Amino acid sequence: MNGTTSAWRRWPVIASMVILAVYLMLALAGTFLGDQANVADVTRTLRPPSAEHLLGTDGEGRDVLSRVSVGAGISIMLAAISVALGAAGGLIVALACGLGARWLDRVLMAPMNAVLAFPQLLLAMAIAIALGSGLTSAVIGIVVTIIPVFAVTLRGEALRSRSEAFVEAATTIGLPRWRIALRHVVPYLGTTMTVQIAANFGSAVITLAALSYVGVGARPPTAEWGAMINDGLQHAVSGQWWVGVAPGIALLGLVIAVNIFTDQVRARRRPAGW
Amino acid sequence: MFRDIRQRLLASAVTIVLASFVSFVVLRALPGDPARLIAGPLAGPETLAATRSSLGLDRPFFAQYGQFLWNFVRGDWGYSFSVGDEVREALTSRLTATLELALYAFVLAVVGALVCASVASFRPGFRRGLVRLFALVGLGSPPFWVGLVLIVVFSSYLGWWPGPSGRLSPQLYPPEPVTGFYTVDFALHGDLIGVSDSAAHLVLPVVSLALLPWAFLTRLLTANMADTAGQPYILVVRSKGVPAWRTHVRHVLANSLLPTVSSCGLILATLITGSVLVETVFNWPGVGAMLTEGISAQDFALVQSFILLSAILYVVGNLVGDAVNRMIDARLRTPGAAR
Repeated sequence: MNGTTSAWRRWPVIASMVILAVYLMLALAGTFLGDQANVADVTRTLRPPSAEHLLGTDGEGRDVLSRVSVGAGISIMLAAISVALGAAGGLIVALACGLGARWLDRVLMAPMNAVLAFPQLLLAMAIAIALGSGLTSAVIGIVVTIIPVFAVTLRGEALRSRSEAFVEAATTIGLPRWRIALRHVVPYLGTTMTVQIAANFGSAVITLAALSYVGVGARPPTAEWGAMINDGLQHAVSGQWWVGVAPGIALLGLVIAVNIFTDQVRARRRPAGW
Repeated sequence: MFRDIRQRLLASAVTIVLASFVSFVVLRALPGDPARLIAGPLAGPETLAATRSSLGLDRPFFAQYGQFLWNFVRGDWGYSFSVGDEVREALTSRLTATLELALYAFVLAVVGALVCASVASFRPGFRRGLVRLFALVGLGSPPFWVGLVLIVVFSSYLGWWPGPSGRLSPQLYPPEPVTGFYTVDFALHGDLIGVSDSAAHLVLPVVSLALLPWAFLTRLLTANMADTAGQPYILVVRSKGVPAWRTHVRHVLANSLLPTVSSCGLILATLITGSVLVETVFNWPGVGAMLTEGISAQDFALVQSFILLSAILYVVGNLVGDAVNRMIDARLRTPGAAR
């Protein structure tokens, strides 16, 4: 844990944490709003930002700010679920590959590499279409594309851990393999996990929005950022910029905060890069 | 060296075969019935059964996969009911529009990254901060949203460039096709109005498409250049009296290019997915927009061919990147040294 404290004191980490906290509050406000954000009102369509509607209203008279905050909840929650499932799946595969028999490694890594051969978004898209569009399908699509990312990076670390003294020692005193894996190798993978989780969270938020944007994620009334940007596209040309720009800025801010955090954790491990 | 390359080729071939299996499994074997999708929600059981057997869906699983693979290799990629044409025809007919977009975006991203990374890694300060900030924003922005913002600012508000109106203004006719690239074809015919109009239509989509690969490459290259700049041999070059900027370009940049070259596959991937996301924003009549339409129509044949083709392109891109690296860098040629 050397150097941890000094790195955590650096301001970019604090700044990104503050931004993330703001997003969580926004999302919390969004959950209280719930379906209220989807109530259309034809008497106030496409109003520009004002004191009453801070980010204006969209083509159906819904308040853009409320929808953005509902979208924050959806994005954060679903990205977190996708990354958690993907990380768990990838970890299991990595432990089996890194610590298990050689044949198991080969058998498991082949499909991982096959999935990695696809551009991530396209495969997620195909999976989501095959399962029938909806947010659940989108999450499954993202999870399937994330698992191999974790599996490959963590497998390398797990293989390296085998030659570490503490693993050899644990093997020598005759601990069962699962115990070595859980108590000794998993903590060893911790930092790599953190970096990967943060990095994949950011990309999961973007992928989710992209899936909804092309129409395989959230269905129309749902206040998902990607779907909102798609909706805002038709108003962009005619000058009602706030409909599409606002959810995008929300997304951008979240991803940037997460990426800054990722960079800082990564820099703590490898000082030269950024 | 050749043994090494042969091994890489073999591994890539295996990956492509497995990828074809994945794409087959995803779109045929998962719940969801292609026959139902093609026949429509109102079709009766007989129609469904007929559609199913005409698609070969009543045959055993591996027979279906074998058939799919064989058809794919032969170039028979199935019928796209959303376009109303053979998938291969549909894809090739709209390929040049995408290629024109992607090629300009590629050049912009690479040149931009080379310049920005060189400037950013030269010395710390304002410029480095600015490039970092832009790269951070670029990495976080979904390409379709960038397109929307560019339309709002440069088309609706400033009126500098045309908005989402495809490749040409409506009053112009497309040029006689020679290369399929409007800018090049107009230039070949000496039509300056056509050149400027098609170029103006390219600006915003190209920038939205290039932003992500630019940001990615800039970050990668800047990190590598910062690493290289600290190497002892750079100090030697400087102490021989070579000017700082010249050292930076001739020695630091040149020695930091390898990871950039080998990320070739990844750049291809960002361009492919980017074109899917950006083309719809600008009504660009390319393959990406066609795929998006195919997605909303749940056109399995089209989507399947597209993702399999992009996987092949991605794998080949990685292979080419590695091969080029090997040609540039003698250290990688020793067998066993490379991974």
